[in-house]
Amino acid sequence: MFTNVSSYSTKLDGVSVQKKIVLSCFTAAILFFIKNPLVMFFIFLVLLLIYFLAGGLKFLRLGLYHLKITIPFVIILAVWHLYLGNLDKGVTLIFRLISAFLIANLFLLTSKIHDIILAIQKYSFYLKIFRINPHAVSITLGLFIRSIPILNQRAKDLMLAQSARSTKRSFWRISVPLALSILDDADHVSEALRARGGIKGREN
Amino acid sequence: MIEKTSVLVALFAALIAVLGLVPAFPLASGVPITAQSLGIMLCGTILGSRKGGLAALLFVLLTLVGLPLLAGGRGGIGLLAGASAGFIVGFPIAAYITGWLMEKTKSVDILISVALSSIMGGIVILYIPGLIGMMINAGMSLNAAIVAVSVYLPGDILKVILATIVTSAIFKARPNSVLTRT
Amino acid sequence: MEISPDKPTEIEICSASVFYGKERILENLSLSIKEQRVGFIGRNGSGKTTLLRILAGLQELNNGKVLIDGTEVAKKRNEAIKKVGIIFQNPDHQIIFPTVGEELRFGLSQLGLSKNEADLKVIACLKQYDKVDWFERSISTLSQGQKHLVCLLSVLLMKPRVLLLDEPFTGIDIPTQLKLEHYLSSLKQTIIHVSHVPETFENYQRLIWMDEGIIQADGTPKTVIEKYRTTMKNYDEKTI
Ligand SMILES: Nc1ncnc2c1ncn2[C@@H]1O[C@H](COP(=O)(O)OP(=O)(O)OP(=O)(O)O)[C@@H](O)[C@H]1O
Ligand SMILES: [Mg+2]
Repeated sequence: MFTNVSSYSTKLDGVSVQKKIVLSCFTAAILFFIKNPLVMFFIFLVLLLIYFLAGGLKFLRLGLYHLKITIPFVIILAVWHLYLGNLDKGVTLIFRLISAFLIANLFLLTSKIHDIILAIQKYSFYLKIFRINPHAVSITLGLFIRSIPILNQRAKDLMLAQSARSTKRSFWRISVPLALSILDDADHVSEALRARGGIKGREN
Repeated sequence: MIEKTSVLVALFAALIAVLGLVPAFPLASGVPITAQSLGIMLCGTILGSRKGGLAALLFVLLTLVGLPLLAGGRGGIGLLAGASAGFIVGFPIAAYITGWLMEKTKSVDILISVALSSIMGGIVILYIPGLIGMMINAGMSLNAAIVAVSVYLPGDILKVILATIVTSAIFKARPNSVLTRT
Repeated sequence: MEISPDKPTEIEICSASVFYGKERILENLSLSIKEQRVGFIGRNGSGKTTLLRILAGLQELNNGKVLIDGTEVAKKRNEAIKKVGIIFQNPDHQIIFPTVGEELRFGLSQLGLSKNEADLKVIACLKQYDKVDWFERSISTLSQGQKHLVCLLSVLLMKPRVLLLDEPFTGIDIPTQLKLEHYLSSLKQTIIHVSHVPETFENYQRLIWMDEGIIQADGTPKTVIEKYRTTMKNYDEKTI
């Protein structure tokens, strides 16, 4: 299900996922306080340099390739601000968008999804400060990750069952059986959970 | 029962994710719409405010940390600088409000209650952060932002209809599972 | 806690009744089990799954009680999970975590083991079945039969004295089924097994035939299966 995008090894692979999460969130947040287009552009260049230093030209190219999902919004921003004649603002916003994605992707391309999930699980333990049951959180998290491929397969199966008996194929026809099957699953899974001792501790 | 709560939250968060994998279909206006916000509405209409809000929150947090769960396989903190940032952040609020309204309209006919709650929670409330996000990230004025997000409106109205059909069908098949009605 | 063969586990169902709404599913059922291998057979909807659920302490009783070695399983949950483990028909309904290691660790940490202690046991167990490389494996990459094995191992790791199986072999090919049966037959635990396949019970000590929540026949597999078969055939001739 969650395979990693990058097969390149980089110098950042070894850095702990926790550090990378904190660092990337922090730098992405800083972007929102920068109003100067030149500074923003400079950050963009620095990020490109970091990609290059971390994994060479190929990795830099991969990083740029993954920016493709920003293209539609970049075009809108460019057109809109050209129309307004407010170039400074346009450049700032465009490079903020691009840099934010560069930062996020740098983290994602150099970390294993599995490690990210483990890190989240570790961090979620601190939710107990907010009187949230960490045991419940870790179970919910695991079950969430586990359910995505199952439900995805279920949706595909339902689609198939539908097209086997009808010439029309549409998502909305399977939405009711899909939702019903999820509620069925919920009954079974929570029972299986209780069969092995259930969730310990306070109600969350 | 805490086990049931955990499981429902996890499964509905996964439902939101899976709805993002359903191929987006372009509407007449040319704007692709995804079924993902249908998942948000269903969280509210079926699970109610607290559980529905938690499911949406779980989905949003993990998406922002980097799991590629948003429609089109997107994920990561970079989304906060994008066009839909406000909508993403607003998902848990929308689910919560939808559920809260469902709980307040228990005595009303279920079709009306679901339609009303999902219009209010899934459109009116969700569009507030959505607009703010657009204004911040695209540097648009409020009026321009309203024009920009209005392209999503036809799709979202379609999703309200779907949410109404699904929720009332479930209410017929398994009345006890629509937690907002128990 | 080791399972000693000389002291058999005692299961006692005392006049148990279960209602779903007004419909009664089990009525005033009393049963005492000391055998190590016991099977249940019966038509769809006859109440077999419900019976296993009350044995596991998962189903509230409207009347009566269930004791396993003197522990009331519905009330004392912390003790009950050491006494009894249950395996459901569909592994996807049972597996909670995304990877094999986490899933197997879960039951042990439920019993109070630390993460490291649990991991050691999990790895030892996987080694025993020649599956060490499964530890990091994502559940979604396993075949159906392999998932069944994970369910079985995750419950066995908790060393319950009684293992409840609810049609665990549906949708599994014959070689895999034989392998799983081989694992099961080597266990010292008491096994209570619900199945629609009479051959499953060949080496069992006792077979119980349920119908409409009531025990129809109780005895050696051979005699019970024979009764079951003739009755079902008569049914067939009458109804068609
Ligand atoms: N949650 C429920 N609500 C209402 N009725 C139920 C519920 N679960 C089971 N029943 C009813 O209880 C009866 C016994 O069900 P049970 O699942 O114990 O049968 P079974 O012997 O396991 O059947 P099968 O061989 O099909 O698995 C059935 O008539 C069923 O309709
Ligand atoms: Mg059954």
